[in-house]
Amino acid sequence: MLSIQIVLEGIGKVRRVEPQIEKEIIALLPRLRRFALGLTRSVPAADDLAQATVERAIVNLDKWQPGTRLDSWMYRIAHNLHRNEMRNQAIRGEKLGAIQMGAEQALDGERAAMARLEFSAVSAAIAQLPEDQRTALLLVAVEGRSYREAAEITGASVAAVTSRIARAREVLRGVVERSD
Amino acid sequence: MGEVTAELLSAYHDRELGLEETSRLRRSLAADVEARAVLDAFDRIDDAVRESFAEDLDAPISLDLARAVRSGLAARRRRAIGRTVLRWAGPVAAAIAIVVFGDRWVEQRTELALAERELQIAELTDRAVQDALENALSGTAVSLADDKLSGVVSITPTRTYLSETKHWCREFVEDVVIDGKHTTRFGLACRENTGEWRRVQTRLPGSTPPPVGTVL
Repeated sequence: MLSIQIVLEGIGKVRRVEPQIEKEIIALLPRLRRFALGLTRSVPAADDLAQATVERAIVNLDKWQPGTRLDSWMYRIAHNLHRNEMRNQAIRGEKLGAIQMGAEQALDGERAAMARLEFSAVSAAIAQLPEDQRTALLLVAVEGRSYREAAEITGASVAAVTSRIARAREVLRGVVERSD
Repeated sequence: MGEVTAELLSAYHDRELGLEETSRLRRSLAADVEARAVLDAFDRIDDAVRESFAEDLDAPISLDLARAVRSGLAARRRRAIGRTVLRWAGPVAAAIAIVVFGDRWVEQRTELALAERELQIAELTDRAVQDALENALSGTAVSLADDKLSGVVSITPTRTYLSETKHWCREFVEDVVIDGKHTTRFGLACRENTGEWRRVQTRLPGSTPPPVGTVL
């Protein structure tokens, strides 16, 4: 009788906790997709990465500690998956499709620059930034993360994050000043 | 900029410097016009960066991605419940497994016996669903007939809403009459970014309807 009670309690716990998690994950999908887009610079690749991240996160949900940020944890998974994929592609010697997409986005930016020069120039320049600088910029300047949080998500040191953001801003400053 | 580096200014801009470093930098800034101009530029750059990345949030996420959350959690729930049951009630779990595998065996046999005719009915139904959900108002039926099948499929959309993942979803009634045999089912489909309607749920009359507006 006791065992049946424990079984029912266990099942009840799973059912009570998961709808909340589901809502949280659904709510952060657009930002996760944007983060993936920042890493891959390609919409199809970002969708694939976001999906792989969601699947990996759900399978490993027990490893996430309630009370800590779910989004940071999922960003970290996305970043690791992307890094592994890049490593595998390098081993296979594949040409990176994402970089080609970056060039196309830059062209789009140039076309739009007719109307909104500075914004478009910055957008195009963001697409051309090295991936680690773009990711650091997204986390800190857009998402308002501290350098330490950005470092934890990307597996880098705080010093590396500090340097990446400064270099990214310097590149963008050059772009803005040229467009003035 | 004298000894003030871009890295230092960038960290100051992000409020990442300690108290001592901050006050030292503020003293330097008072006399350094060039450094102050760099800080102003960082403000403008951050505005443009935020605006640029904000555009990425507006793009609708794919239906597959949204569904991955629900299906992944459902699979996880089944595994978690399975583990709990196995841990505390092994014999019961074994009995359940026999029932499940027995059912699967029957299902597989049924699938193997599925005739081409039934596939054609499914295709006819899908065409009617695409047509009705894309073009018909709620309450208006779209019917497709096939003489070879001597059957008619009617799809009537009943309710339309924007899901929590910003996909348009429609509930509908599906009436299929084949060889005089009438079947009614209820369906729910959501519109993929490509314009295709993807059926995400089918239920029989008498079963519990999905929660309003939250289904994907």
